[in-house]
Amino acid sequence: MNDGRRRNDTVKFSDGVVDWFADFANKNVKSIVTLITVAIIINFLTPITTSISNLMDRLAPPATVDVVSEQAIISSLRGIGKLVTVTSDPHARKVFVSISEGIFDSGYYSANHEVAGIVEAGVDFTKVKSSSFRYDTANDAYILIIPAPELTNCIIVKLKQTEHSLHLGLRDWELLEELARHEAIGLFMADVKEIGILDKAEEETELLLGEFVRNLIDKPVDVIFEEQKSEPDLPDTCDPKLPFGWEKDESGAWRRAS
Amino acid sequence: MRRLNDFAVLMLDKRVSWASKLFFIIVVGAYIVLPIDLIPDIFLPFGIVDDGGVVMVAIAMFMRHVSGQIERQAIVSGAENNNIVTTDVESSMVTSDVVRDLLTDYPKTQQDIHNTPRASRNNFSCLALLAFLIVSPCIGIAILTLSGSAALSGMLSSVMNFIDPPAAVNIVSSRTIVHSLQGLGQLVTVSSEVAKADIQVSVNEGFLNAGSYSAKHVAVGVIEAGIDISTTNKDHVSYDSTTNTYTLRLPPPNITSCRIEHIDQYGGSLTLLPADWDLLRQLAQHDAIVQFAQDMIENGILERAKEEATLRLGDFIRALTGSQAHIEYEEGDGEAKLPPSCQPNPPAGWKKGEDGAWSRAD
Repeated sequence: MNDGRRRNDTVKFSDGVVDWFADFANKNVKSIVTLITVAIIINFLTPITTSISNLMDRLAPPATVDVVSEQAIISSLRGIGKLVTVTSDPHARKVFVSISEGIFDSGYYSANHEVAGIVEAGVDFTKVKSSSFRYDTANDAYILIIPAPELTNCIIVKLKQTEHSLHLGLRDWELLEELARHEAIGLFMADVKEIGILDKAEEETELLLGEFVRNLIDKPVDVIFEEQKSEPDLPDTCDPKLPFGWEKDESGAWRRAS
Repeated sequence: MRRLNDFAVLMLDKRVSWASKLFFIIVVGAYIVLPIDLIPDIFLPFGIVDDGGVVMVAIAMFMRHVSGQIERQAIVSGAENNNIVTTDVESSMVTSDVVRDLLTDYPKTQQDIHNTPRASRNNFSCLALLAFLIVSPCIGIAILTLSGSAALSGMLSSVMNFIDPPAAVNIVSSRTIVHSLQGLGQLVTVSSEVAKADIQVSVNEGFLNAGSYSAKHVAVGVIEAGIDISTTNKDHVSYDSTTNTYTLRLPPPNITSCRIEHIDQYGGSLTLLPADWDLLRQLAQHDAIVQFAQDMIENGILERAKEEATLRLGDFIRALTGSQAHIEYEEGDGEAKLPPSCQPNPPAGWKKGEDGAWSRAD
């Protein structure tokens, strides 16, 4: 009897659960279908997106660059003797260049440039000869007379042209770049001279050569520099060629070469 | 003065077309501005007096022309009023004979207006003015030619300079902040100029590589090498009294600087989409600097630097001490050290993998 009642209770309970689920399902058919669909999509989403991604990679692969070049040709190899004793950290400038030409300036165009460069200074070691040395018998010391420090190198480490002006027709963007480079070198030289690169070169040269000579002969040495020239010689790197077809007038303004 | 007053009133009158007004202003203005006309302006004061005379004649011709315009407008309004033409005399406030006749003879029939010979002169005065302004500069040029070609070329030059002035360059730069100066002790003993032609750089991008483009480049650069003597100390120096010889031991030579003198781009590919040609130049420059340094090392620049340093320092020691000099070099670790100028930064937005392949930076 008890078993029968228990069995009836169990049947009633299970029937109730089934009825509840059936009722729930009937009331929420749309939600259930949506959930099942989402579950299926999620389940297959990863391989789908991977496939789409693979397809896109094949059709539009990430940008690549090919660089093909031959062996360099050595046009000259020569001995020099520069004792470089100071260098500036790479410093940057923005240089804006514009050219106005044509009827009523119809050919105006411009670009901005980000330029970074290094300037080095030192002495010309090739001018140190036997006559550069003197011996001070009174103090038992050597005197080394060397040329005054000068700029030895101006290197542009970065030159990027940006912000081209709107224009019609062809424009000589390389000319703007050359003008920017030429101008930047002049500006870099002025900048480092302003913070005393030549004085620093003098200090470092005195330190270096003084130490070098002392290590050699174990005697004190005075390093003396010759008079600085009023217009020191500049290396080719600090005195670049003017862009073809252009020149600078006395005021420093650019104009087409006559 | 009365004529000038009438002229001013006509220029402000709405019945006169804008085309007529602009034609007058442009043509007469050009005649005044141009230095070459009937009597060139260099022949002062006649060169200016003739401009004034021409302006007065032009005003008279303009007034004849616009009288025809007002007449035609009156005809149109007359057609709308059963061929009876009327005008409002008081509102125009014109006092010239030509225009007064036009206005005070009204009302007229349309037939009367058409028969008026005045209408036929309107277009003629405009054409006459234009023809005069074209012919007079030619006469002026002839006068200048007769008076000497130097004056002519000077005049032509000034005209051309006005219209098409010489090209001018304007450069503006930002201020630099130089962070610091660093001490060095490099004895640079060799400099080499190198060149590379046909550096082909191509960028492949876009849907089915539709955005690909390429160009060739020629690069010329300079590589320098030398010895760093800042690290020498007493331990690197020895003296042999028997042979009266100083022996100096130095570190191995290294590349001291790399630079590109110039780089030219040519042979750009055809492309319909915008191409970053400057990027190609930067990539070519990057490749050139790195390759130049490697190529020069392979071609013995370091050995040459060693030879030159031996020569320079040997002479220095001999000059200083009067003794013989023997220079030795330490063994390197096999890899040549490169200065920052020989290790350029990649172009913005790009990176080079260990295999040397370029890709966009993340």
